[in-house]
Amino acid sequence: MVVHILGKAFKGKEVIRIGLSSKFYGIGEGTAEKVCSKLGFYPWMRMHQLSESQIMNIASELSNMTIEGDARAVVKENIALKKRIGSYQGMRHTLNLPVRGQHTRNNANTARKLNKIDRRG
Amino acid sequence: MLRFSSKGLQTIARSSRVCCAPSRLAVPLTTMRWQSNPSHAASGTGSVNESLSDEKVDEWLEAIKSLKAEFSEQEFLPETSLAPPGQSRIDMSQQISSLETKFEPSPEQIEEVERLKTTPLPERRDPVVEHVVNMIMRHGKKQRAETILSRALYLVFCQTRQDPVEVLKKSLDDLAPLMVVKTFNTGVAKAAVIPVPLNQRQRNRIAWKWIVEGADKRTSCDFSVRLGEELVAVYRGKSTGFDKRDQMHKTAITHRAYIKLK
Amino acid sequence: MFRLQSRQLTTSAIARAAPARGKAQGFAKKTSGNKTTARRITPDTLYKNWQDTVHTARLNRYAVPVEIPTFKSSELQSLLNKVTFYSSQQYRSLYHLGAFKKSQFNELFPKPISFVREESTQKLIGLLQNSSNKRFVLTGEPGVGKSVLLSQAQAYAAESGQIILNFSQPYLFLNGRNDFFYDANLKQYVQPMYLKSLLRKILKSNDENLLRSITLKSDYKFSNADPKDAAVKKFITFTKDKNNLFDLLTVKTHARNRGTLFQGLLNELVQQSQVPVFFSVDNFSRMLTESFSAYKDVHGKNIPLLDLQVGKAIMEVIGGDIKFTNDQSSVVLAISGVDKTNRTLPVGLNKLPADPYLKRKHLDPDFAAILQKGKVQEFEVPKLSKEEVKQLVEFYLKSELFLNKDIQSKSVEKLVDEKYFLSGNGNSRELLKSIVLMHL
Repeated sequence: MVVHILGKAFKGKEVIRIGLSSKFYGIGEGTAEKVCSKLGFYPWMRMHQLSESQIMNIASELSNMTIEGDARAVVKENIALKKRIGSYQGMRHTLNLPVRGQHTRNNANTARKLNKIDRRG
Repeated sequence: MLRFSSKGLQTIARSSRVCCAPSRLAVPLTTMRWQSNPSHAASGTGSVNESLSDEKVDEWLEAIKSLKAEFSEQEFLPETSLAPPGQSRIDMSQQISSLETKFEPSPEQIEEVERLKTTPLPERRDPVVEHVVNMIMRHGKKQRAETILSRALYLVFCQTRQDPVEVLKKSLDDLAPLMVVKTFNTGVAKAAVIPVPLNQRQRNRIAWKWIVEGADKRTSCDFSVRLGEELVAVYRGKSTGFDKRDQMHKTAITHRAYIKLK
Repeated sequence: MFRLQSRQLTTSAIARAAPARGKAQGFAKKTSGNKTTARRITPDTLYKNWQDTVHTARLNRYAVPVEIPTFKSSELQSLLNKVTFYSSQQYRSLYHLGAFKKSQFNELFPKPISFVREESTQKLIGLLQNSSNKRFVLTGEPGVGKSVLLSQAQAYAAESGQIILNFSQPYLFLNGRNDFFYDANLKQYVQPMYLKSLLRKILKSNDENLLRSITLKSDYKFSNADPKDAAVKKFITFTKDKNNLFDLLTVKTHARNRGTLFQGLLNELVQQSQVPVFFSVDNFSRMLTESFSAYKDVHGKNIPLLDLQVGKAIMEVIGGDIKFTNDQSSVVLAISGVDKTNRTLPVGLNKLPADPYLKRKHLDPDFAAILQKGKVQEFEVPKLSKEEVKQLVEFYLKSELFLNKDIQSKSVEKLVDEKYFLSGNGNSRELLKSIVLMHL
């Protein structure tokens, strides 16, 4: 049984807090747990046990948070700010290089892949 | 002065342990023993004061006084002071030499030693089981290997209700091939394929390899369960390893002409 | 010309191409390990881990039958130092209570056995019969036989016509795997799923006639959830003095009402005076060492054990706030050797002074106070004596548990000496382990 929350599909056997934290950008284990306890779900409740109204509750709860695009926008904004004020970290971001003092002779692949002004998040 | 007297008391306590306490000292043995135990004395002086009656204190004082008299009048003579009651003095050199006598085995003991010389010490651990444990062991974790084997053998025991170690030995012996064909480079065009007999350890190793292969095809996430199941299958003659053994024997038989008998 | 060229191109392409599938493509890359096929699980497949396999694979089918007497609490004197089976009535009750646990090696015998000991079995049953304050906590090192002693006490209770109320695993209602909700009437958190299984356990483990003999002391009204007649009959009502406890336990009602149902059941048990109640909790140390359950309230705080309906009820029974009217009723708790330990139990048993500066993790003052208030007494399960080890070893010899090499090379006295030493001077689980799990 598949459950859809905010356009994402979850397997029925998935534990709610684990499913939420793994599918939504901006929601970790802690936030997911908070959401669940606020709505009165028990810690190991599974997706297929949710009723329609409970799914609506989760959706409305999540829509008040900064998740997905909003959360990514925050990160981008922060990077853009660093660049705008001309800081070293901003420069490293624009140069596609590691920001926190790592060596660049070898490796640094993650930075080369991800670091840019318009970072994916 | 105090120190001296306590030393004397200790000497008496020691002599009382070898059962020749001077009879002229009327100090009760129990109190003396208490005094000779310093840790006890240190731990509870307060409670001891309560338990000591006036008469006992008098007894103690009397004993200390007599000790003082003994040591102050003449110098310490162990020959006389350590002598047992009814004997005026002892020969110290004789006492010391008696302490140093060596152990003399009785004739029965000597006979037993002679009898057991020919029988070898029994093996502490079963060599086959030991070999199997070593084959299970990875990264030097012997304890883990032993646990795995023990659990597997427990499962074997529960299913067959036979002695599991014997089941293991029997199934290894059943499964193991007798001959293996080896390819030798002769230097000429054709390589020689010659059947070679295996020794016991080599046989066990090959059989174990097949058992583990069979075990890995089973479902359980626990190696000991898979192994136990496979061992039972081998014991009942249902393992796929037997086909491999027969195949090996067949090739050996086809090449039997190449066996060199000197 | 063109043809030739294209042909050359293809051959060189083949040479440069990747090796055939299934062959190693690079150095130190293993070909094995691609287990994709799902294996079929048939009833005979052993697919669990070792401990569960051994517990559930019905290996006791192959056990060697041995003639041994049946456990009877009235004839304990004649059964002393003997291995016994329970009677079939006791087995039914004990199985439903969850008295037979993993890692007790019950699969070695046709049915779970019990060893009647003077120092533990006879003494505890004697205390349960004659003591004025019947609240005990069984303590002792892991594997010494606390759970076995508890099941013997339960067998005694089942035999002597008591109602048994057993909580075999407190983690079932503490670890957050069951649903819960806040019941505004009871002002407690109620766990319907857990209560359902608990009520079923109580129903199955007790004698039906015994439950039927207890008439209700007050009226009850529950909404009907029976699929057969729920459409016709909206409510089920029980009237006082007319219906009995069996009716109350078999009622099919909605999960919302199950807290009230449990509360009602407890009240009925407390108020009736004709049948004594045997109240037991196994693995009690789990409750003592963790003051908070895994459940969280709406503010994200862990719910204390005393706010859960079941936890609160257990603690009230122990503390004496809920007192069964029948004065033959008893409370027996057994700690678990594998749980972590803290100072709550020693303080609760007045063995240590309470240190007010300790954190709740190390000393829960509420629980300690409850234990003190209920005047819970410690019952330490002693290790086996050498004589008892001898009896057990003789029984195991009859059950053919020993390796042939042990039987052939050693006399019984030597075996007893050796096993007594290996069992850590008389730990019963270690004794069995040294026989069946040491092949080297």
